[in-house]
Amino acid sequence: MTSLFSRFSPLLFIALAGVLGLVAVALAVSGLALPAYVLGGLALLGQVLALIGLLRERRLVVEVTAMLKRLKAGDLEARVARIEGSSPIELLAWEANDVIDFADAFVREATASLEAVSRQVYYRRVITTGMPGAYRRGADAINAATDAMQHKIKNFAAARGTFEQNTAHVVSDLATVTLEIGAAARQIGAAAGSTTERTAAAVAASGEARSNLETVAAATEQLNASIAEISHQIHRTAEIAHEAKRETTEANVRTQVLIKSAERVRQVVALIKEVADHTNLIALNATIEAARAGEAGRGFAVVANEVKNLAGQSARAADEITGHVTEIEGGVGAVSGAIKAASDVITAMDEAAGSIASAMEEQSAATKEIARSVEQALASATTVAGNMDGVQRATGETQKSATGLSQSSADLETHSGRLSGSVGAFLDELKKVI
Amino acid sequence: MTVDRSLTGRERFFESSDVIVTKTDLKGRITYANRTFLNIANLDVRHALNAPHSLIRHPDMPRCVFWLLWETIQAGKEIFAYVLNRAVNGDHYWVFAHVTPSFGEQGEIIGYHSNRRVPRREPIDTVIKPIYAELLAVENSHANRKDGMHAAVVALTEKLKSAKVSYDEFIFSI
Repeated sequence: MTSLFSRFSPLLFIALAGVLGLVAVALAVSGLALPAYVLGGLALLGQVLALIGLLRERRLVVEVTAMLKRLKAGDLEARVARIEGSSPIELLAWEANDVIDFADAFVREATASLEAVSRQVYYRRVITTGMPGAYRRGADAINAATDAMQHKIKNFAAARGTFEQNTAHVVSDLATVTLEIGAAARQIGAAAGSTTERTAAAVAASGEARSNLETVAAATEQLNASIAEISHQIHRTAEIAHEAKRETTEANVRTQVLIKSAERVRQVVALIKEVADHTNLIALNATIEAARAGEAGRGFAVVANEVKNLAGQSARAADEITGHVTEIEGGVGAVSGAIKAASDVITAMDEAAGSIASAMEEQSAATKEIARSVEQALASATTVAGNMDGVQRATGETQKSATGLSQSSADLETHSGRLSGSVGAFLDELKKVI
Repeated sequence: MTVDRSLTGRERFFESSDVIVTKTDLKGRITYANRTFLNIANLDVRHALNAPHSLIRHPDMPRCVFWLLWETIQAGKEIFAYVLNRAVNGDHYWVFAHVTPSFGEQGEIIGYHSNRRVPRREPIDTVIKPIYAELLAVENSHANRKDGMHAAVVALTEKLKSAKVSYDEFIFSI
């Protein structure tokens, strides 16, 4: 039955019913009395068949309409699956199916290819085999775009590779430089610190030197005063020495006079002694003579005896005088020696004072030289102190700069780390993209 | 009912402007077939609709290819394959099949869709036929069909791995 309808169009059945109707009418007009029910039955059959056929075609039309509605809504799954004949309407349904098949194929291809591109898969191209007209042109355009994208991505990937390499180098270099700067900054800081310490020490030393120099200057001044005083006193000493010398000379002269006087005393005493001895001898002779004279000479003997005693006394006095003279002479000799020694001492003292004076003169000159030098040294020390101030300030600045540099280097390190991280992250993102 | 697997050795061809289109439900039963399919498979609509797609399976096709095909499309992905099919009269024809899942409004798989185009001849003769023969031999070397198929899947996987390409890359490279 189905195949019957598949093969014959309802039109055929309508035509058949019409023909049968016409035959029935013709027979009726011609008076041929074929049983009317036979003809009527045949016509009815034809009409029923035609109706069934029409209903089938109507079903197809409804199905195609429903399919087109779904298609309109973007549902590419819609098809009229059961088409069993080749009537115009059935052919229409097949054509409609084909239309959707092409649209469906294009959408599947385009979607798959673009999804692949989004996964960075470029070999999945839109298959254009069997793809007609505008679909083909659209597919070609998509494939051309994919080609271009693949090309660009390839170039970009190469560029990314180069970029990655270069940034890796830069980041690595930066890290090295940062480390070096950090080390240099630390060295500068340490050097500046050490310089500061040394400068402080130098400043202290220069201060000390200055105060020492001032002390020296003061001492030199005092020394100068002392030297003047000493010179003055030496002068006085020389004068006194001269006076003393003159006086010793005079004393010497007097001593010589004294010695001569003593000698004369000695001569006088010797004469007295001689007289006394002679007197004694005479008295002795007188005594002897008196004794010879006996009684008469008794008185004389007494006188002679008295004379002898006197002579003895005179001799003894002379001896005593001689003793005294000798003592005097010894004393004078000692005095003379002492005077000579004193004179020698005074001469030596005079000489010494002379050499002290000349030494003092030299000393004075040297002290003046020292004072001048000290003055110069003081000026230098002041200059040094000033310079040290400058050095200290400069060192302070250097230290500050070194600290800043160190901080900058640390910052640089942080930034370089961040840069490295950012570049890494950027490249990671980039790798995700292509 | 025994499946008729007799072969005539005659190859059928279709126009390169044509595309063989079928749709199946989730179980692989045909829900739509276009005229090109019906013509080349020598089927009428009534026999095609609701029939399993394996209706046109050719005995020279390794089963592992279909296993891979189903694994892929059930995972929601598309697959391309060179396939030798058998028309119901025993003739055979080669296609370049593209099988894709059809998705519903919620993204769920509601069926499968296959577009088959005229294949390039050269890769079939130089690459596909030898590989399929090899895989088929692996499958037939096992008493158990399932074991044989798994062995063939392993063989195919190893082949791709040693060539360092994915199945897709391989198909598009030939």
